[in-house]
Amino acid sequence: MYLQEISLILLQVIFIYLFFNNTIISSKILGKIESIKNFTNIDFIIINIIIFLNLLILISIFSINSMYFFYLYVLLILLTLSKDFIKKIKINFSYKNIIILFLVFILSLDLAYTLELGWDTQWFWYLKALNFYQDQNFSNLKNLPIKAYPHLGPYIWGFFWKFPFGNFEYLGRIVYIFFYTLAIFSFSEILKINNHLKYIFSLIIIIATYKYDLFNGDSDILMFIFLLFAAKFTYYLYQSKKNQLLLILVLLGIANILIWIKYEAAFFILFLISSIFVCNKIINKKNKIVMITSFFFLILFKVSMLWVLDMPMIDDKSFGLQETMYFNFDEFYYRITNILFFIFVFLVQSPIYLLTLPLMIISIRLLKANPLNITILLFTFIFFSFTIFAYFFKVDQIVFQLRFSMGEFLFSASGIYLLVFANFLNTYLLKGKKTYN
Amino acid sequence: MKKINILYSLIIFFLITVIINNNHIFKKTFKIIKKESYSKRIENTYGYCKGSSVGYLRFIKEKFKLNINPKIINFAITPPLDWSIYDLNLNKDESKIILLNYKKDFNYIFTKQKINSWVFKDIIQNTKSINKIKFKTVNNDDTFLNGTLNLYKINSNWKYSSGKKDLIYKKKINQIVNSNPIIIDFKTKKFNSYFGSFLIEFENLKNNNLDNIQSIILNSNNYINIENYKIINQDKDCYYVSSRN
Repeated sequence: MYLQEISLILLQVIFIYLFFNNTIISSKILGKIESIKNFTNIDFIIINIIIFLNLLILISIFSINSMYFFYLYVLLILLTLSKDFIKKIKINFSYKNIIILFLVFILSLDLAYTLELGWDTQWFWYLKALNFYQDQNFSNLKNLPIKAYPHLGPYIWGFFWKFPFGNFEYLGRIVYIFFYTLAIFSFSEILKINNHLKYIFSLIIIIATYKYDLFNGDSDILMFIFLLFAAKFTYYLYQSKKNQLLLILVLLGIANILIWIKYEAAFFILFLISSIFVCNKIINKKNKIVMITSFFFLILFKVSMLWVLDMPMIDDKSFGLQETMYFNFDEFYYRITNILFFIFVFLVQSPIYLLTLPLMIISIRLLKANPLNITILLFTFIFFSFTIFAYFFKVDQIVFQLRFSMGEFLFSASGIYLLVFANFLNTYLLKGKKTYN
Repeated sequence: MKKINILYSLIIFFLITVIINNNHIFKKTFKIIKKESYSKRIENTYGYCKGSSVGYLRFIKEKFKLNINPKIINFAITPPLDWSIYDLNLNKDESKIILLNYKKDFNYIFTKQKINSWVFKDIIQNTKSINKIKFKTVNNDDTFLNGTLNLYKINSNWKYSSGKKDLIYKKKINQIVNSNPIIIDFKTKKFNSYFGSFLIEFENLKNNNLDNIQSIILNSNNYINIENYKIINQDKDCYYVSSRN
């Protein structure tokens, strides 16, 4: 009876796959970049995603009609394909891709059936997505609730809601599922185990982490996804001495996306980049300086764009800045015990932390001065200090905030902790096996 | 080697089956194909005239081919519902209102915590007055009370016993209390709270009959009187109305 809807979901999944599987950059240019030869097919898809989303940021803030952008982008893909000859069209239906597409499809069915949007999504995320779906410009966000909240997440949703079919809103959220599945399978590629075991690892991570609520329209899942992408390219940075600049560029592309997705995401990627800056001995000084200055340039770019467009930077009502200023230090014990209690509770509930945090402690002893391990340790120190600090100065409803947001907050950064597992497996358990580069 | 690959493939197949089974994908797919259209699923998720009542909102939008964005007021506790029918290309019209889960008045039941404290810990929204006080006594017995009833707003839902207390209403009571309401008609906007809780305590008690009081019910009239509006459509407690002027 409603078979048409299932067909639409399937077509949307295939469209998203083909859209990101092909690039707008000619293979002649790509062929000139030496280090790209080591990239996997999924790495190329990730780079396409990064290029597309960075363009989308510009398209959205300059209020360029999304339809023109969509058709131009598709045209560029087709032009690139025709230049590279039809025989090179990458419809690479390998075993892995079939698993990924099938998983995206079945999880999309869950999305299509459940339909429930989260509280914040109903309050403001949906309206931001609708803003772009209905071709309203960037400055119109000022007329919507929580106007200062970053817009990229709902813009992605609004874009794929509108293109290509312009039908049900959940079609736009399927792209989140595609990114999520891709991120997990992509990460498994750095493990020095056979392909079947990589797929098994990916499926276990999906079983352990997937729940419908992650895709209820909130942008938290995008933080998890892009930090997982960042984790993979961070790993490459510790393996490869060549063409680090390209890897740094990819990392900066991811950082820019995160900056426009959520406030806390900008902090998380800053912590990661700072940790790499301090601990990575492979990257030369010049590249390190490029990495850190470019990151602050990206922050400056966002701030100046918002200033030029007269958009608010922070929603002081929702952040309760005034209440924070009048914080009462008598509550120190009450707050700190609650924060530590909830951190413990949510860490224990998260399969990723449950696996990786003990492994990180073991790694201190077994891997000793391993640079990647030290980087993750430094990241952990900054990340948890920030978590305690951020919640400590939340407005007076601290237990409410902890209970309802701490889980998502910790989950969104958990992707980076899979590096602990990868590093331990590759460095200690499987010494001497072939790796990237 | 071939045997190992088959084993791996079987494990992969098993894990995919686990994902399908954990998320009831077959059942959901079957329902999408055979039974439930998108609108029906929206209604199942958000209710027709219950909870979020998005089913009713979509019904009104379709039936009246709305060319404005009406004001939506839901008396159940939900996030704002503009998203469900909002069209950013249309103007807002505050004279057209959709009232969801509308009731003429609301009862807030304060449950006993200690011998002299009754607490209400849920969200209260959209009240502008406290109109009546009722007492639920053991076996509905009459109980004589002589003291002052204090109603406090507590700044936290979780620390109602130790949080900062803000007195919002005080009433001297020197009478027999039972389920018959005491009319007070006290106008206040302070009897609203999202994160906080409310506490009732007595002071200056001349007798000690508090054991008899199981719960205290505060009643508030709805600040919107439906009789002041022209009803365009009604279904149970959901109304589509327009102002008379």
